[in-house]
Amino acid sequence: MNIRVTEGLRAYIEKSDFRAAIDGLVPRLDRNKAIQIKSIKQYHDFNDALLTAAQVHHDLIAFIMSACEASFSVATSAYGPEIEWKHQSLSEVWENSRFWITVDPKESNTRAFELTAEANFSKGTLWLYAELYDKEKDTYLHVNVTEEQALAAGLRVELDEDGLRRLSSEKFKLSNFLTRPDDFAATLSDTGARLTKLVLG
Amino acid sequence: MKKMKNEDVLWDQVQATNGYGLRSVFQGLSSSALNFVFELDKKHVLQIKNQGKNIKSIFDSQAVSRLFGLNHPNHAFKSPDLDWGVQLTEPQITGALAHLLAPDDECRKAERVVNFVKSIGCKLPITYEDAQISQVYAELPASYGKQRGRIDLLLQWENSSKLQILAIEAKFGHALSNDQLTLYRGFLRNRQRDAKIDYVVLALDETVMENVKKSLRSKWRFVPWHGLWLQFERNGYDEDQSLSIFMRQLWGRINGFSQKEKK
Repeated sequence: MNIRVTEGLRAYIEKSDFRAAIDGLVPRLDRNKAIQIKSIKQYHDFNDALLTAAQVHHDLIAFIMSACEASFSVATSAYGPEIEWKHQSLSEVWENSRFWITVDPKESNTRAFELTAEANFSKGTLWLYAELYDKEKDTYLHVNVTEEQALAAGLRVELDEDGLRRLSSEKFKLSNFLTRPDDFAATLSDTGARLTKLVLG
Repeated sequence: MKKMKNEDVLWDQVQATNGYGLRSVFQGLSSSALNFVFELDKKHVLQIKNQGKNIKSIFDSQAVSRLFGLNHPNHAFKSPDLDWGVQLTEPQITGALAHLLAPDDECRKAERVVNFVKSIGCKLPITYEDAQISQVYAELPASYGKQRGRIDLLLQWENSSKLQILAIEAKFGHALSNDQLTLYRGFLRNRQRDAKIDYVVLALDETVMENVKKSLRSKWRFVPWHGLWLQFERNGYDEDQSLSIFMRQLWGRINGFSQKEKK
């Protein structure tokens, strides 16, 4: 699986001031609201900057989706993973910097594992995690993996914001992705396979 | 050597290509390579290469820099984005602004005040010398008739022996009352009869002016927070981190370009 390093993605990861500027511009991609500008030249800059913001917006979403795909697609191909498209609009992927696929364990029709790749660009990290979801009760559950099992697989059990256990990888540095994208993709694939094996068996 | 393709057919294909792909491939080839591989004459080779030159690159980080003024070394976006877990209130922001616009160093004060006055679109005359001895007040007590209030931010300076006043009512989503605006205007006109006064409502978005009486709307002009912020940053300022960190916090408080309160 190939994860591309684009100019826009590189600048967004490496330069915090550029990142803040893009974060400020992306909500204006709807083009419904002007900003107060003093001259035609500044308006040209605004228009040109929006084009760059659109490119970065595209590249970042492509990166998150590719990271998810590289991590989980091979390991889950036998399960027919699904995309929860209703909860993953492009703006949600951008705002949350995460993308997930859903896999139904073979022994259950009511439960599903959500396998997620999530980035934190201000901290320069990306990590993978698995959560268990009860489709009938519309609620999340504890992932049934012990800390010992997780440690043995080079993973860890952590609590989400609601105090529920989920299985998580270490936090991978995005700077490694910029310098060695192929190695980064291979690491994700390996980690994703271990994580998938532990929750799906 | 047998021609690979008829020159004109190839040229038509190049012309018909509506995208970057083929043209950028051609662009990457030297003229001699184009000449050799496709046996094009020099005129066509030049035409193809010039066509490539007109393609605007989509990714242009300089455009972003120009818009925000990121080339300034002390830009707010180069400061840490601190998470204090609380939102700054209106009085805290105007208080901090008044404090930061008038540091002890007179040169810094002059640069900041002039930058602020220009950035808010104030047309009153001001020089660096005027700004050095200007006065900046936050929450200035004001009374007019029986009414009492406080002017959020007020800058005053003398230019050619004439008093100039920039009076600002700063808002973050709260309703603007006609009484407040009448009070501040009445107070300043009573107190400084000969002064030139610029009245500004500084708010997230212009809907704040909707309930303002027509007679007052012609006296008070609306300025969006993001407009002031952007111009102030584009103009650049000194290396005092207190100012750049505050401006970074202010960007978060005004919710960037969104022109509405953060949910």
